[in-house]
Amino acid sequence: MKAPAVDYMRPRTLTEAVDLLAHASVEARVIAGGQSLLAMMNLRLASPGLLIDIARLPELLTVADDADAVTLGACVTHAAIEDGRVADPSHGLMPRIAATLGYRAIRTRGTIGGSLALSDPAAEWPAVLAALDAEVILYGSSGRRSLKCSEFTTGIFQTKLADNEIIERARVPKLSADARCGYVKLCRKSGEFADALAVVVADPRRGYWRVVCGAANGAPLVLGDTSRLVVEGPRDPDALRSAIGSDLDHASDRHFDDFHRNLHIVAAMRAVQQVLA
Amino acid sequence: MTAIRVRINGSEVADDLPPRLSLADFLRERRNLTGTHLGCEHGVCGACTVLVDGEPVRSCLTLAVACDERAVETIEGFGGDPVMAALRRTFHQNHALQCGFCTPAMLITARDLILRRRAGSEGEIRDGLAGNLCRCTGYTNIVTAIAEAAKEIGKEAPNAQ
Amino acid sequence: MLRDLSVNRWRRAAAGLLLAAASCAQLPPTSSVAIPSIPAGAARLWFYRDYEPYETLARPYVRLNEQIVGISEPGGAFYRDVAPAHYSIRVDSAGRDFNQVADAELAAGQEAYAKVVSLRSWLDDDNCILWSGCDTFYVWLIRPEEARPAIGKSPFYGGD
Repeated sequence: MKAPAVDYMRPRTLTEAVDLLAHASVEARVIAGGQSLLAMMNLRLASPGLLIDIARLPELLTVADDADAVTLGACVTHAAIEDGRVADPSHGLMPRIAATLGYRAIRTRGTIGGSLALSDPAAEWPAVLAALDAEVILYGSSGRRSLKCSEFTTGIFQTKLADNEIIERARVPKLSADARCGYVKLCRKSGEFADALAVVVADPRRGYWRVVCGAANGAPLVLGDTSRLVVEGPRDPDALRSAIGSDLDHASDRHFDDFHRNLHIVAAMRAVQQVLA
Repeated sequence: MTAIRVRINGSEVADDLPPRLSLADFLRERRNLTGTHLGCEHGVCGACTVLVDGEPVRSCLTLAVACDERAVETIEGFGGDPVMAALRRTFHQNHALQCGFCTPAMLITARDLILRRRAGSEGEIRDGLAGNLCRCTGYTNIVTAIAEAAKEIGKEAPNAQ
Repeated sequence: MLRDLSVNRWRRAAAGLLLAAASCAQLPPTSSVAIPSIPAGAARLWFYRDYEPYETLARPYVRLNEQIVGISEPGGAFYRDVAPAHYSIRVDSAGRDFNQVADAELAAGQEAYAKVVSLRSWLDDDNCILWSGCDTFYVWLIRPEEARPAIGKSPFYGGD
């Protein structure tokens, strides 16, 4: 299947891109890697009138490495993260996760900003960035604003990105040297979207613990009781299983069938175990 | 229509294209380079894999106009490339193709795996090939051919990047 | 060797094989079977399992409080009528993981549903389970609305 007719522009600056977006007389979409958008266009699930190519904008390719955080430009590719070609605030967690995302040929084009903007419920970056307490910086015609990634995604393919905004950067706090992380992705085949995803970050030196479930029928789900249990205990399997189940059951905006509920429990328990072991 | 300049298999090409044209269709229809195949056109089967600036990409999910000023390598290229030469030989010797539809992309993906040192074991190779589907061979001979080529390349040039 | 066998004997052997293969495929779906009602004073526990082409074909024992009560067939469903009690429900598994065992407190007249899940072909972040070939089974209690349609479609392996 072929993509429908579309116009194409490649602005040279971010400001130009935002202007184009704001003043387009047709439905305009920004395109970075295009690994989701072009698939949708090829399947005729999306037919924008104008594509604004932001993949080469220098402002979106910068990587800033400061004392507390690494800030990644929205157009940094999954492959660049996988290969360790950009600074890593997560002591290997982000490269490890990037390597399980799709296939290499997808990773060389797909971007972290694109993943956030789409917020596919089964995608890795929204869950991981929520677990790492990252912020997303948005740039629009009215200027910049910053949101916690854990609040940016609000549902299945739903985010707080306004129509005239572009994701500019993701600011990821640096983990302490002795922080521990766990990551489990359950899927049938290498690279496909997850059926269950669990990310655990434990950084006692910064007083930070978080357990997040992805592929969870909605925005990434922060497991509050489970996060508390990882810190305070008891950490025996029964207590953990109970806490995870309770966190899943108390998610007011979604419903799990028993099969997926149990699958998430397996993923979350394995991920917690990686941190506790 | 958008004007582009792109380097294909070492040669400069200039053209004027409708933006909707995928890199795959540009290569196949406009440049007559039909070694790049189209299977699913949504990024899953891998048959369309080519190199852009040295990295494997899905040409079905890449706009030709987005390749302006880029270097594209298709299966018709790679002349003189030692890794590709080794792979072509081991694929032939190990009967790693039947209909050949997946083969160009398999070779390009395999070459990338070897160069990134991700072809060290059967498990690693199979994982690296997850994005390239084959309907004929059952993958066994493909994996064997890649492992053989990887070993050969490793032996010949231990410091090669 | 073919020259030594009489043609008729060879034909009969082939027919026998075909019949055996066909009868395995001929188990009726559970929804088409008349299932007797739960005996007075007993509880009923159903077991079922998905059949996926790349999933394990292993047929492990199913245990209630460590007693073997049946065999889990790929895609198959069966039931057992048991005395009301607390049951620890598990399936023999080479792989060890969390959440493999289900616990159920069964009362007289109650019908419960346990799904046997194999995660052998599911990858984790280390992508190692597939290559270790280690069958890992889980038993998960499933609510009736979810379980009954799946059981209805599954070949019925009997009940008692």
